[in-house]
Amino acid sequence: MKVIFENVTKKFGNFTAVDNLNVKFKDGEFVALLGPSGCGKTTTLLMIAGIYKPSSGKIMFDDKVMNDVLPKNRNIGMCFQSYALYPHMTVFENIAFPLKLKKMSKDEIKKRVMQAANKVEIGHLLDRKPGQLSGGQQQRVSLARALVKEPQIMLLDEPLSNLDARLRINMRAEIKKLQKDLGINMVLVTHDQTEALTMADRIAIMNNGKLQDFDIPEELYENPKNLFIANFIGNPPMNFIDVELVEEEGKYFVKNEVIKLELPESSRERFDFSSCSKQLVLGIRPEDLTITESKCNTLQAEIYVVEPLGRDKLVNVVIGERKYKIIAPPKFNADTGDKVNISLNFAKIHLFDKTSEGSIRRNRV
Amino acid sequence: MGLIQKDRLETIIPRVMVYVVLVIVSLPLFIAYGWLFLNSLSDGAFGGIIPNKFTLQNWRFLWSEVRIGTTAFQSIWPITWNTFVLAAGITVIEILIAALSGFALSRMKFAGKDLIMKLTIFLHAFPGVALLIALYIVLQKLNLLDKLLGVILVKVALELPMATWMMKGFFDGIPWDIEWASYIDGCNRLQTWWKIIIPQLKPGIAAVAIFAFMSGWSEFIYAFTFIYSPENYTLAIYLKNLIGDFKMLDYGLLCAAGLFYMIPTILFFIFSQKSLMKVSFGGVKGPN
Repeated sequence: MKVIFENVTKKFGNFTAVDNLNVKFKDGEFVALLGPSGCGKTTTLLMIAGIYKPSSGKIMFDDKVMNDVLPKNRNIGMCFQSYALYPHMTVFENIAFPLKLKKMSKDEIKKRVMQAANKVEIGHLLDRKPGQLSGGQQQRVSLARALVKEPQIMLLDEPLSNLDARLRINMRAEIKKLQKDLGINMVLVTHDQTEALTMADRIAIMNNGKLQDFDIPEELYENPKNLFIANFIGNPPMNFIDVELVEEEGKYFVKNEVIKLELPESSRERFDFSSCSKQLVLGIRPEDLTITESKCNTLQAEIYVVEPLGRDKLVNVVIGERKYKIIAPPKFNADTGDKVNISLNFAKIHLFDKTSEGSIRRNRV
Repeated sequence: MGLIQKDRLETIIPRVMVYVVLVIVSLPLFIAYGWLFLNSLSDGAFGGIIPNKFTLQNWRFLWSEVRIGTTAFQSIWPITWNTFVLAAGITVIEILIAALSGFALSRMKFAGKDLIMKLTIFLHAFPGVALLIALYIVLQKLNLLDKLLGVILVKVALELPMATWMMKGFFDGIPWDIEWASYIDGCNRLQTWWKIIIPQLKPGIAAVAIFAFMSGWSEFIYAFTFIYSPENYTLAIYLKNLIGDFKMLDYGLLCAAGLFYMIPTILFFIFSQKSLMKVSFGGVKGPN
């Protein structure tokens, strides 16, 4: 089933939670709504569920306008962050509840509940009350309750945020597998970019009620459209340097008080230097910086602190007055205060207009 | 004195103090009830205070007709039943209305909601006795005078604001997520109210019910004013009539009848203490 938002706006009083949203989810797609808290992602989810009505615009499932369809008639399953299990019912009754409301026969209900419970491995807990379950178990019950209806679309609101780190990594894979097996639409709301990157087919990234971009994870990571996306996606986050663009003897340089770097010839193909302003922000990911011996076209920095991460080391350095992060091989060793040279992988740099915050990358053809 | 002993004293003394204060405060109540109980089983009393010979004579109203002077009192059992009907009627009607109005005030958005909330508090603060004459006329016009139903309706009307506020507090404590989940699972509003919300509201309903029942059971002024046929009397009126003639006053009988009147209240309190403790107002509020 396709889910289509057409000029959807949701206001609460004077506050605009979702601002003119236009987006189209494909049939059977796993979409993540990603953004910081208060960006409108949960409001968007609750509009799909039918709990909130859009203030203007249209929400469509395939070609049917859903704006005035009640939640119960939308054939959706939803998992809440708080799990929202019914505390006075047993696990069995919780999962059976949507089926009972559909007036199914007792045998059919039992069969379906067992199926759903086994799928999420809680078959042995059916007689318990939610209060007697651990967080992870409650989360599975809420998944089973959403699945048992065989919904066309599953909505997940921060489903993993209350689980411990190890369980979260396991559930990430399990939910993704479940979605692929069932082939249904899934919409995941999260503020955790790792969750979005690992689970979703495509990510809709939102900020202040506005959609920033909607694309596959690799594209958002490799070619962020603006500063917000560049900053939000990636862990450890991208490094940013305020620079000025200057042209000297046919060559382009970026410089500020402490650095001056020559941009290679190839960057003219990637970036549109002709129409952009001169005040730019240079962005580069920690893994695209290397500590070298060479002093040619590099940054001079001082070691601030080195954090071993096991697989590699995270080196914090100071250039001028600002701190930057570099991923270094595990054998790298240095003491605080050591002077080092850092070279950039120029094929991976990002340049953003300082005022509009948009990337000055040329559009791919 | 050793240091350890001194430390021990320092922890014990405050505890002893607490007990002393509690005993002093609760002693008058305890003595009063104890005295009531002893006198109800005693044949007269020295100076009206110190119990005398053991007797069950004072409890004779339970099994025979009571006469004081020339007045004959009818059996206490129909009167007890009347009192029960009054208290239960108030409880049931109040719960039904408060459970619906509390839900609306807690969960729905509508024009004038704040005004209604403020007005209900104002109504609650209004002294009911001031309405006595007006209510008499209203009941007369409605043909509800001298009927238990009349008293029930008056009582419900006056207590509903408080009950609604209490209920609203309990509804506020139920998370929105659970309600939303039930809508998505296929409930309409009424089904959600009945299948999801009300079961979680049991402590709240219990608390409101207890308050309503207690106040109905001990209701005097409206019953005394609006009811004048003996077959519709309640225990409060019965008790008042026992004192009716001061010259003939039988204190033993009065004590026994008073104790009889209190028994349901005491039992109710013993069994419902836990629910009563849960009463709270306001509390959590979800997004609107």
